[in-house]
Amino acid sequence: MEFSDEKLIRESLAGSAVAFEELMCRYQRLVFKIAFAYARNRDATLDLTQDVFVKVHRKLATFRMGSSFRVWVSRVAANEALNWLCRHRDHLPVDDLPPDRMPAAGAEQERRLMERERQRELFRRLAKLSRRQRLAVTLRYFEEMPIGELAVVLRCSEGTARNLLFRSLQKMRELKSPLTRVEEIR
Amino acid sequence: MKECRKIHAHIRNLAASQAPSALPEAMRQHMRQCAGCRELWQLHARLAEVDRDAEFPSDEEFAGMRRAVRQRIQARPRPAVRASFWRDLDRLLRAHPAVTAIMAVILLAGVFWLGRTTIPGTGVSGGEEWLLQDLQQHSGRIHDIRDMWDSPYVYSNVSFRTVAGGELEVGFDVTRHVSLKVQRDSSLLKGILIHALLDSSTMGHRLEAMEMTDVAADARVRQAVIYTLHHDPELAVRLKALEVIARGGPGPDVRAALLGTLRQDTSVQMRLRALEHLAAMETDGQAIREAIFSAGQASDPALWVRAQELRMN
Repeated sequence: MEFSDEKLIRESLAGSAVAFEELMCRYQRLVFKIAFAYARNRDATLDLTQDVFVKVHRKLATFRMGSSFRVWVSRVAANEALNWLCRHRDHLPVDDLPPDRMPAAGAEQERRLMERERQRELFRRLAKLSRRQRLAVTLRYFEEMPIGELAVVLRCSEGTARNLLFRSLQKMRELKSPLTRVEEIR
Repeated sequence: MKECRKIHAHIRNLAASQAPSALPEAMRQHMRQCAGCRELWQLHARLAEVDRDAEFPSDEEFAGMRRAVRQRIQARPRPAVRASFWRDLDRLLRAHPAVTAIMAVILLAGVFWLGRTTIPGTGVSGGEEWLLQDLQQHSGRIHDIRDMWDSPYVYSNVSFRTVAGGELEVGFDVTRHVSLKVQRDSSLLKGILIHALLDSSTMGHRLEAMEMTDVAADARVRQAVIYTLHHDPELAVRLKALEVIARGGPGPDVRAALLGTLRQDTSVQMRLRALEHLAAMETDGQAIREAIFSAGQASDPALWVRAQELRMN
């Protein structure tokens, strides 16, 4: 039997560690995705995810029952990620993607390398967006968050959220990484 | 440019919806010639198809993260030394039940001792030190409150006395407002209801308590309502008590209470209502007549007329 978020929140507030563990399991991937959009480094993102859940636990009493816990967690994660970014502004880690887990050979390896390179390029462009734009793209594309929920997280109307998403795409298109430029010159 | 705008609008909608990324043929044709639109479309498609799970840590890494969160949460409310103290104490008590019993005795004795001791200079007993601190904080908070009735504390039985050294000795009873949710059948609620029914300080509280009262639920509550019915100085409260009692059904104590009202109450309105309820309960006509004739109040014509209407005399 699966408990509702509200039930788990109430149990957590009453001091149940098991209930909070279940909440963490449910939302760890969401928090990680949001955190990764800012930290761009796997180890740093895991640390940031940890910070977010400590904050969530501390602020749990302020959650308004009846509203969406997913949206609330997203907002806490985005705020905490922004704070993290401010603290680490001077020594941000370089873009980092995890190494391939399975070695591959030949054409398959080449295809995978190309794919990874495209993904790197995508993340480089994403990193150059404003914080708000980055959050919008991350939640919409990586988390597949519906536009209504995204608007709640961004504290704006749905129309504004749509515009923000489209402007983010336009900005990403306009950003040319050095690699792309070299390719174009050739 | 017109085609570009169409494609931009299409991508804008796709980006905001969860519909699959598809393009009509006319738009495809335009994209073959327009690099800007093509790049925008490719970007959207790549984002929509990005390997979302590529960056996720393994289950073990997530478990490690959660373990670290738990440790930080546990460590936060108390310093690590205190946490380990409580852990050790818990282990000790679980291992040796006799130690638990001895500690419980010591604790009880300590509480008893604190209740009897006085902190020098304060005149407040040791067990109430927390109250003193709380009151001090509260005094600080309410400093700017104009309406002192907002205060969560109520002071009563206040006395002042000058003592040696120019200090004042202040004595008071203090109560604090408490708000909690309880079950309708809780014994705490019944006790509070009885107290409120018999509290003569405010009529509003008595009426409110009467509204909440279910005489069928508890004999002590019923007794309190009957007492209020016979002794409350306010007609409104007695009328309410009469309705509450009558709601309880035709039990012997309910009939006796209504007959008592018919016999003794100073208000004709009360006696009329009691008469009507007794008639509805099909009470013995002889008992009703005796009640009407007793105490010299039977001469009230309204009672006679009503009794005749009800065919009870």
